[in-house]
Amino acid sequence: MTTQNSHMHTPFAATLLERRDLSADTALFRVAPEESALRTLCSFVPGQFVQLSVPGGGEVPISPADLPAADGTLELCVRRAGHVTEVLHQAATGATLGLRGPFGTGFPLEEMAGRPVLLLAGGLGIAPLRSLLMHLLRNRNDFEEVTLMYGARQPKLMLFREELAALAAKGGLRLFLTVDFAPEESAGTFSCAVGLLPDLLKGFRFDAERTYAAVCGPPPLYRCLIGELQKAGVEAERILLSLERRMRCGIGRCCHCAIGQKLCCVDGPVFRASELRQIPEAL
Amino acid sequence: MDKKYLKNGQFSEFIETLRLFGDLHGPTMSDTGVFAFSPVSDPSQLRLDYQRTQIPPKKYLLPFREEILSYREGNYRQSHHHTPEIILFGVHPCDLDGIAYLDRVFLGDSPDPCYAGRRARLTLVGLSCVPDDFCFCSGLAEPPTCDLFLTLQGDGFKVDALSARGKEIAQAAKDLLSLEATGATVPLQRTGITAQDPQLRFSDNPLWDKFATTCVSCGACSVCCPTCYCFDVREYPSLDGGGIRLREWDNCLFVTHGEVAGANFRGSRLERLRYRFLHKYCGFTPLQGMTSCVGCGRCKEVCPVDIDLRELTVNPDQGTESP
Amino acid sequence: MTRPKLAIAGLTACSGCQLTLLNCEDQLVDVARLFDLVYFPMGESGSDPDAVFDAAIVEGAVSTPADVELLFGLRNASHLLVAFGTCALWGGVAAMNNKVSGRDELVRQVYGDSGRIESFPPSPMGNFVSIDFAITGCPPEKHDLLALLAAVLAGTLPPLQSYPVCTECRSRENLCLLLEKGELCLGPIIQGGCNARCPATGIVCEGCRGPVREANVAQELELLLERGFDRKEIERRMSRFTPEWDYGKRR
Repeated sequence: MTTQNSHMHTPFAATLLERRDLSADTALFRVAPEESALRTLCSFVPGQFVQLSVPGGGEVPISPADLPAADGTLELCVRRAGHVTEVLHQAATGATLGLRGPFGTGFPLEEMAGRPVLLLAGGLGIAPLRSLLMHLLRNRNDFEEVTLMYGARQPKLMLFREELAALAAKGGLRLFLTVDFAPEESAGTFSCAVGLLPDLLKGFRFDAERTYAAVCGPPPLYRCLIGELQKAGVEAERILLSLERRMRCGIGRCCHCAIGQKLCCVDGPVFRASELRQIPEAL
Repeated sequence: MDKKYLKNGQFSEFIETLRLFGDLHGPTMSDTGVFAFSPVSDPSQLRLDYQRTQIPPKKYLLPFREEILSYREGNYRQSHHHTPEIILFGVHPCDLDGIAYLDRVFLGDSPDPCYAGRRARLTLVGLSCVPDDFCFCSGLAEPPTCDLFLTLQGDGFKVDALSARGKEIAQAAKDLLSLEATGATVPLQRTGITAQDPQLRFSDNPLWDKFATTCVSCGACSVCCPTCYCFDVREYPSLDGGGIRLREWDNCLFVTHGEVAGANFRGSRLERLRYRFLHKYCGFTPLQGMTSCVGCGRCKEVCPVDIDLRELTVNPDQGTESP
Repeated sequence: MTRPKLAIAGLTACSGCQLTLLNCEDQLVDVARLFDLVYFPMGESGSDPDAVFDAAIVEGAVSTPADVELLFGLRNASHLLVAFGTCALWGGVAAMNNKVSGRDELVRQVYGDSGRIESFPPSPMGNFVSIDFAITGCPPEKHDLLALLAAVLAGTLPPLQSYPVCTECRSRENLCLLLEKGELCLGPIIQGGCNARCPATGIVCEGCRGPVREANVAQELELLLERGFDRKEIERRMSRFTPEWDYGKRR
């Protein structure tokens, strides 16, 4: 059995280098995988996921928030949501974590080349889309217009907002931020639209015939956005959805992540809206 | 011509020969009267008349609960299990099919280390059977997933060696085998079940509602199914600072099966039954279009409320059983 | 490393759950070394009732003003509150109720006319305070308690198991007492994790671990009635460890 194969099952060690709080319950963790893991991990395609092990808690699937850096470090954006992520949030810098992957099917980057790309993120859905965004911006000339529409419940829950604003200021990214509501105390500190993501999309003019849309957000968001995108003229084949399921093994065995007859961990987590048409239980 | 007939008189000695190749397990009856595959110390313990065991042979490959990893100071290591060579005697064709299916799942891309380790040390000796009312298998697969297959006929067995291992065993037992047939084999009518249309899970068959109302979610159907392999993975730290990760048979009929943080994709029992139907009769990636139901009849036999998902595959308009 | 501070306490109960800790003989030395057992009136004298805790592990149902006071105190003083055992979680034997005798009559019967004891019908602690984690069982399994302690050390809570007794029972290749022997077994609707202790020895599941999350109670009732059991007898058996069932619940 090759090393690569055994690490499909046994996590590589990874050291927690740094943690940056993004909101009250969400933080960005930078981890350095062990040397022998780098070759496997650098095959990462935006949209794929890794299985992050936090000793004592267990394992959770996480879509990295960026491509691996030149030194192989990886950024993982994780919300405190269960007994595994709880341990991660308490972990001290220098702690040893585990990584398996990358697993699954990511965004079809080659197919998207030369086209406009519209990213639609709701809440924590920005995390997987951020790696796609970073790829698009680093290879800016390979793509046409890049637009990110990002909605959060309220300003303090908006992740990466300064960073996104800075990226937009450099040019090359059209950025639209929106919040469901803005409490009064945040007025003046932060400017963005107030309203829901599908409403923001309604008033947006873009080259729908050629655009690829990438969507990630909480489950109820998908249906609305697919409807709006199709109304605008984006074909279902070009609507890419990153779905969340409870993947335990990551390699198509444990069967928790089935979506119809497809397995989210192998066929996804990125699906085309057209693939899901026959699967009412998908969204 | 091969010598491949075993007379009943030679049976005990044949069993002793099998023992030379590993620990012998086979169908026995427990103290409480349950048929089970278990270690056999004396050939008289073997119950060749068994219909089906409560738990299929999958327990030899995928135990109910097993440690898969352990960690110390944050570093995970694969857990190693000592697995002896096991000769599993008397496996019926349906259960052999079940193992063939599990092999596809666990020995496909990147073989599962725990499963593969056990499978490599498991020798399968098949045995022909006579179906009862619960059975609906399609008979012995071609080629069968076993090393040796024994067909009951007349006053003995026809012994077919089907793998290198099987031939090795037959060679060792050659003095017990004869050229002369022990009798004729009676071919049996087998029905089987074919892969189903995935859209049937949304059919307006009233049985869906009936099943969703009566299913007690006890999980017995999946536990006893030779091809149900869904598993849960859990990690337990220990007081010494290390810990283990284990996997345990899971069950698509449990409410937790489709849960994610803050949502459940199969929140109702009806959705979970549809999921079971889809997986069992239509298959998931990469086994789409393949049924994993081998017709052993266990799920129907162990169900406290007599649910038989197979009934859903019969169009109610064409049903001929009700007057 | 700082040792997590523990409170181990009991409300109205038999102390059997707390005894589970003392029964972990092989691990007791480690537990004492790794944790600061600040408050454990049953196990040691000189417990400090004014301390703060990382975890309070509390057995028993709530049935006296003193129970309420202790429970509120522990809830306020502890980061985690763990309902420990069936009484704490479901009311348990403490809350068993023949629905005939009134509370006053029961108190008089037990304590006599002179006995003045303030009490009210026992109920699970979840009716009074929020609970962070629960370990069921009468008594709880040692390994569940040890898993909790190890998880607290690791800064988390143990993973949950949610399956009925039947799952482990079938996996152990036991004879099904409900189907094969026609006995009044509650396995299908009771939380597993006990490795089907009782059915493995030929004794029906009495339901000591309380309902499993998705218990199809109405169907269990129906299938027991079909097998000829009397409704009263079924309810009596079901309510032995869990007094309040929704007998119409299907999901």
